Amino acid sequence: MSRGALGYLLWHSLRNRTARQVRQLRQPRYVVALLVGIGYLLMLAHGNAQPDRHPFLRGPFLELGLAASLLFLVGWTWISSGKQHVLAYSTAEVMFLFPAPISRRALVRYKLVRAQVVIVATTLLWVVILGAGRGELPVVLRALSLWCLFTTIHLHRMGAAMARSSAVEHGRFGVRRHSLLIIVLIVTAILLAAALVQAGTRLMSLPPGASVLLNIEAALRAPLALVVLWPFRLLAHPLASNSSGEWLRSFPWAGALLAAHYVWVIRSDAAYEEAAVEASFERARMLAARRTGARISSGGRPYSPALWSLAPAGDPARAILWKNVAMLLRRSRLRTWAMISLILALTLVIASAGLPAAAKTVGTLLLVWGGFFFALGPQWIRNDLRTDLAHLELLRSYPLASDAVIRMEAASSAFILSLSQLTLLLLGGLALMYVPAPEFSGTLRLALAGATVVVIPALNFVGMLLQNGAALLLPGWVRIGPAHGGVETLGQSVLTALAYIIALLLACILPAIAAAGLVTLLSPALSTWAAIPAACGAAALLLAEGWLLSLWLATVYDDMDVPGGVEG
Amino acid sequence: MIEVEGLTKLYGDRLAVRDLSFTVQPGEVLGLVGPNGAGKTTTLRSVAGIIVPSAGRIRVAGHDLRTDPIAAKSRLAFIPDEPHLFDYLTVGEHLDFVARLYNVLDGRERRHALLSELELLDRIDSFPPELSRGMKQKLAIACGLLHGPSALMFDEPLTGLDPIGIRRMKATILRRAQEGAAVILSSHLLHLVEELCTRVLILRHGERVATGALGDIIAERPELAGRSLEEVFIALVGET
Repeated sequence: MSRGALGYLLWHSLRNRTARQVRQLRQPRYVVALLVGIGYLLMLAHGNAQPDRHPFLRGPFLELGLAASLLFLVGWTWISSGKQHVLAYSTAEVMFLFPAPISRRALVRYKLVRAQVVIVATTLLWVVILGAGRGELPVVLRALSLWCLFTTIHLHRMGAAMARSSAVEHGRFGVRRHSLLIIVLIVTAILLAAALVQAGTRLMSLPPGASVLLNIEAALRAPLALVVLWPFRLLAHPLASNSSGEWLRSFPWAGALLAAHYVWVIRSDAAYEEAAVEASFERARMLAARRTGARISSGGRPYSPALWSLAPAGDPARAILWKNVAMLLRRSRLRTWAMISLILALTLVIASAGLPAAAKTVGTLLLVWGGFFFALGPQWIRNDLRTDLAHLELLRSYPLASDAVIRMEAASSAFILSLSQLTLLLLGGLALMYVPAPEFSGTLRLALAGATVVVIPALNFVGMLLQNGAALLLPGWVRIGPAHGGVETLGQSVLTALAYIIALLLACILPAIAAAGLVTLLSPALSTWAAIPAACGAAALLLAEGWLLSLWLATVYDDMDVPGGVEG
Repeated sequence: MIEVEGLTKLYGDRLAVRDLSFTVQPGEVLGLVGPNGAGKTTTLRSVAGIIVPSAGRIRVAGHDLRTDPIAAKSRLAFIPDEPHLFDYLTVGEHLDFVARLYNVLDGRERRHALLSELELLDRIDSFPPELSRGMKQKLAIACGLLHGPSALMFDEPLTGLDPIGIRRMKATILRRAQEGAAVILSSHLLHLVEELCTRVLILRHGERVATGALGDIIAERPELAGRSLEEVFIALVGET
């Protein structure tokens, strides 16, 4: 009976949601966005139909690189919060389904089926992104490989979240139920640490002249690293297969891994239920203790001060910036800061050890990562209108000019994004200082660093205005709220990121021309230092563009309907 | 003082409010009542500057909401039925934030007084998810009152409050009116409206059905003599 009801809910929700999105096409702006999106996908499909140009994007290196990425993703899943999106049900689902006579297992299956809608769509997108007609593998096999990979990772995240919830929320009962899993995790962590040390040692012993990618491959081929990466390589192998025969040999292993994950999730659920029952008894005992006056922990989140205090006097719009920065810093958890500290420590150790190959690899990776932040950062850092539109009613009631609100909202995320990027670039630059490169003199490096510090905040400000503009112009298509993450939505994220980069590049045309002109004009007098005034000129133009954009977006913001506006 | 002239609001083809005019003088409490979909929330949101009217003019404390929205908004407060709070700001920080938005230089002193009045002082470092529904509502009200608005709008202000909270809330609304604020109170709780409001504006299908003190409304319709607001309301909106 529950299957029929859940199927009904799933089908009708999907149908109505699709119909609603189609109805939005009555508005010209959505039609334009759709046409641009289709054209963009076609362009991507055409571009990727060309044969592979880079040897690193095929075969064993692809398998190894993908496996390492999956290992990072899974590791991150385990150290991140237990109360993840992957376990979350909507308020309506909680209100209707949880009190209904439906087993928790049926609810988990419902959630898995619901996730398949997104996973299948993401698979199709990835087939396009990776190139439908590229390589030796038929499209269907490539799609199946991707589907298997995404579904397994989704199941893993779900299982991990359940196990964490069970262990954390139900105290010693939860830990006891998951003792085997905890042992596996501890052994894996020890192996991983040993593999990292071995890979690091191998990296440090490499000659300085080799390319960064070869260095990475050599590090990943360290014996212990291969052991740790083995299950991830099983999963990645079908996608990296060069022939249908190879795919047929590798896919059953990946399929078996998927099946094992499914069983784990369902069994975890049973353990979760049992732990929940035991915890309920414990809670009853605690309630009885409370009635006798025993002290009960509030379980509240610890208070942490904001980055800076907010004086009552001053530009009122800056209160928005203060609020958004405070919120983002509080939302980010200890693990983020632990990761930053680890990267910092690693960079300093490598840089000071005088090991050119290692310094070159780590420094380049940090620079590349800092560059990637242009594309992916805006999707992770959303402490702007993309979160605040949920409070549109409140925002509108503030005595602030709409354009000021928009500028401050965009500045909030641009501030954090620039800080993160500059930290990565600074660390990368620091590591590369120990790599001999006669063509990059100390003066040139300093001038480039100065120009970067000037340009990046302005560039991110315009970028965040573009992101906020998309949320204002296409509120039906842009999700409001914090980043969801998860490999199953990665296809949409990559597409959005690419489209965003194109828009950002268009915004950069004029400032880039101005900067080039300034460099030509000033370099006879200032030599390499001309980069800094040129960067200032480019930044000023970017800010001017941003200002104009914010004025236009303010009119869109003013015309937006408040959700539920037609109710009363 | 709140002045509304010819307020009309269309959502696409749908008319939510048609040619509505009224004023609320300082010290007055106007009760906005009507069945679901009558246009109460749309009216309140328009007066609060949250939505832009399709036609008409709204003035708050002498400032036109369309031509001088910042001055008008700095004199008003809108407290919706569902408190909108930021999960990652503490109770105290919500008030600091509002103090900066409204340029309340003595925000810290007012914050203390308001939190005392609303019995939230011991929760000053708590985050909204740690508060009960009623406490959240109180915090939203404290945020609305911090800058001493001269125009106050409440949408179902008693939602989620316990009996003591309800009593205090009524006192808070009356106190602000006595201090000279023009207050609009929208509620389905007709006994509350009858108890607190000096005048009533009854809406139906976005149009005014009746306005004035309950006695005046009844005086214009002798057949309603001796009836309560609830009975008058049902008779006027034509629903049983």
